Amino acid sequence: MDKRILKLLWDRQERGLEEMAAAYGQRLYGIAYNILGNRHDAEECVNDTYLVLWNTIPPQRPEPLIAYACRVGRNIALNRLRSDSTQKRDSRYDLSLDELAGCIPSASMEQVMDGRILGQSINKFLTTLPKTSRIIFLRRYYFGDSVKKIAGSLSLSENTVSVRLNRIREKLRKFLEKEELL
Amino acid sequence: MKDTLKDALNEIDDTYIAEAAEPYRRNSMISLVAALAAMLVLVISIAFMLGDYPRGPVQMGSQPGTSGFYPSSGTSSGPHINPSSAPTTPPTIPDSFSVPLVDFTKEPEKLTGLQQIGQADDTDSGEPLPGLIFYTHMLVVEARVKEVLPDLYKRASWRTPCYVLVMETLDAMNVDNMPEEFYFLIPSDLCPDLHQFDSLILCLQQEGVENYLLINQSTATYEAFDNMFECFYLEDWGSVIAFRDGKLDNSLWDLPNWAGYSNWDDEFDAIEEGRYWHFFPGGRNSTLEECKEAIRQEINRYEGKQHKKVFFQADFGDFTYIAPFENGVFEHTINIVDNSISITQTINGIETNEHCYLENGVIKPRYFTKDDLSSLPDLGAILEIISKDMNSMIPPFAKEYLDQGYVVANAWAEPEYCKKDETVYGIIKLVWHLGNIPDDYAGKTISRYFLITPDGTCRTDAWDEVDKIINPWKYDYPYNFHFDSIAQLKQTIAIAKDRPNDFGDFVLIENICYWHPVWEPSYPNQDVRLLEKWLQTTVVPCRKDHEDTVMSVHYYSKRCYEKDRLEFLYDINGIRYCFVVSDSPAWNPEGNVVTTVQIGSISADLREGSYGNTTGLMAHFYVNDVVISMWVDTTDPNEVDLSGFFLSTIFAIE
Repeated sequence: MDKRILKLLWDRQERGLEEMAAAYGQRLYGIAYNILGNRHDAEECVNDTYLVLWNTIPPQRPEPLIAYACRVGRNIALNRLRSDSTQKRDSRYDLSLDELAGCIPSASMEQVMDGRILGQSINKFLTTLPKTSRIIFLRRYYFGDSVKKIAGSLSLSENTVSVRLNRIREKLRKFLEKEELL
Repeated sequence: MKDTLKDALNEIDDTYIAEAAEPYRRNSMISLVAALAAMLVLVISIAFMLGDYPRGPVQMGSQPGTSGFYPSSGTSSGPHINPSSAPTTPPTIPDSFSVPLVDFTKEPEKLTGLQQIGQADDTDSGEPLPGLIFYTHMLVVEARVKEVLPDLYKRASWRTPCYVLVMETLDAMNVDNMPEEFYFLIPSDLCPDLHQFDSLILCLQQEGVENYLLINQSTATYEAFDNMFECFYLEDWGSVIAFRDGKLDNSLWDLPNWAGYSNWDDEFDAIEEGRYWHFFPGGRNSTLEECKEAIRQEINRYEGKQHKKVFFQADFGDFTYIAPFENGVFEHTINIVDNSISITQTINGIETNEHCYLENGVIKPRYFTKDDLSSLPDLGAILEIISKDMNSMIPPFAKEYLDQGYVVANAWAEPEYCKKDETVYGIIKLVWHLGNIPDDYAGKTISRYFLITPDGTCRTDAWDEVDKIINPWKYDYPYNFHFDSIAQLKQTIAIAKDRPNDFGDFVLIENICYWHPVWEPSYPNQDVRLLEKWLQTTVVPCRKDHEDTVMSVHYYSKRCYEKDRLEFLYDINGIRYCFVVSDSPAWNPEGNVVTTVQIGSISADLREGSYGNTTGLMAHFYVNDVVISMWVDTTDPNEVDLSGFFLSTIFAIE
């Protein structure tokens, strides 16, 4: 499907955006909504995402396309969140970040400073996780999905997802200690 | 702290994001009950997902000037993304354009094709079957590596360099006519490991039947391969399973370059403990025969519920043999989309663009004939001339951007041969990507077209002709391709009918997009006709001066709103103007009348009004049997400049 969408976008056919929206619109909307907690802003973010895709493809041929789209959409939503000082900071995404930050002592986080270094370590950590756990981690802390939604999409109970998230966070904490980041 | 975390999460690898973003594929040991249960769960999951959020990006806001498809930055310069966090591809400025030389004269003996095999359709409904279990809809083949070709190949510049393996088919498990030998394209870092195993079970997708072209990295020439296959879901655990001495050999997955499979141990644990439903045709120490039997059972479950479109050239008897062009080469890649088939041939490194249509099941071919091929204009020679002096060909309006600090970050040419009304044309599209401006990561993309007629004449002033050649579906099938007919509207608006085209043949396409309800792909024809009625009888608020003030054009059906509406958004001197054309007012002005405004001969009261937290000015222009509702995002009536607008019919009256 990605190949086809890319081909359409490279051919400057808006149908590529249609197919993109049909295939990934819900996911992009979910990310934006989780971060911004506002339906209207989320819709605008998604439309901005399509515009970026339209303007950047070509020349880019991102693979995988969905990852590129999610990254763009997430950045747009985060920038919007940052730029709007009046935005309430209690979105679903913020709540999930609180959860993740809870497993890392704040003093250590300040020492880390550079999010990129931490990000590289998280990437390494993800390679150690089983696929399902990795998906749960991404959906919770990258996409900001609710536990209920994750559980529903993976056919797991909410309790199972919660327990697994706890374990993943604990694993992450130990991993970061081992990496001497904490 | 949270900002650091956000930045950190931004570093997460694309592979993982894609993995999590895709619908989760449940797998497990084979059981019909389990399969049905899983499908039920999937349906519930989808229903749950839909219920969890307001419906997707398709329900546009009702606030004028804030719905639709446009940059949120308040300018027409594109969306703003933090450059440091945006995905990056280093821009390159090409020194010259080089078209890979073709050194291949092999004659195709039959029509060749590219077909998406990775989908099985229900034979009754024609609908795609659920893709829960890829063994049922991929080509499942047991094969072994016979040879690894020494050179690295690329399909296109953006693809990962690959090796080509010569594979021997040992058991075609769900394919009738699998060739005894086939080529297998695989990323270079994964290839060297495969030859050491006795056999592999592969979930394959056919990429080409004949003359599948790859660029040889060493020689910079095209080479052609027959029977090319890829493992499209290569990174999905289980799409490549290795066997040695008759037993599943997980040592493949322990190799560092197969890291995507590195959690196989945990996956097996999960299967054994029944932690989640997971289809994998074996377990630890499974034999080859056990795995194959499990796959057969999985395939049989869908027996009669799907058909595979493996090699489809035999189905198209109406196609005739196409003779090779002297010194050239053919590659036939075919995609069946809706009722059309597009054929691309590569001739001397330049692609053709041919369209065939299916009308009542009958193919209506428009592909090139042998005579066409003997009289092709020499695109390569013209391309060479153009590429030497591309900078001088940049459109005038693009130079304005350069004055603002934009630089040409990337530029390229897209040559192709096209056939229209029994005549073969050459088309060269030059594209400039302008960028390197802070806070405008996306930059701007500007195109210019050259039309080369059979006698070799090169024209730069023929956009209308080019449009008909490269987008024939817009003109031939307006109702079947209804979205495209709306796109045609875009052109009409962008290049206003009654004013001279300031830029010669240059067409500014950025910031002019249209939108439609994505959840309704089968757009009823009557909606399009209604739109056309508006166009023919009514009004479009065009701006005379620069089309780049048009930020967006949208058409919403009554599925988005309670009524159909055509929406235009402009950005003029930093002020947004939103016009909504509909059969009744799009919103109710609620404030006092501040003045009277006029567009052409039509006047209206300008009133204060607000939507949500945004205050502005509103007016309704009544023309014939429609209403144009206008909203401007300023409260100062002196800032409202409607002088450049005119209300035009398709014949441009004022």
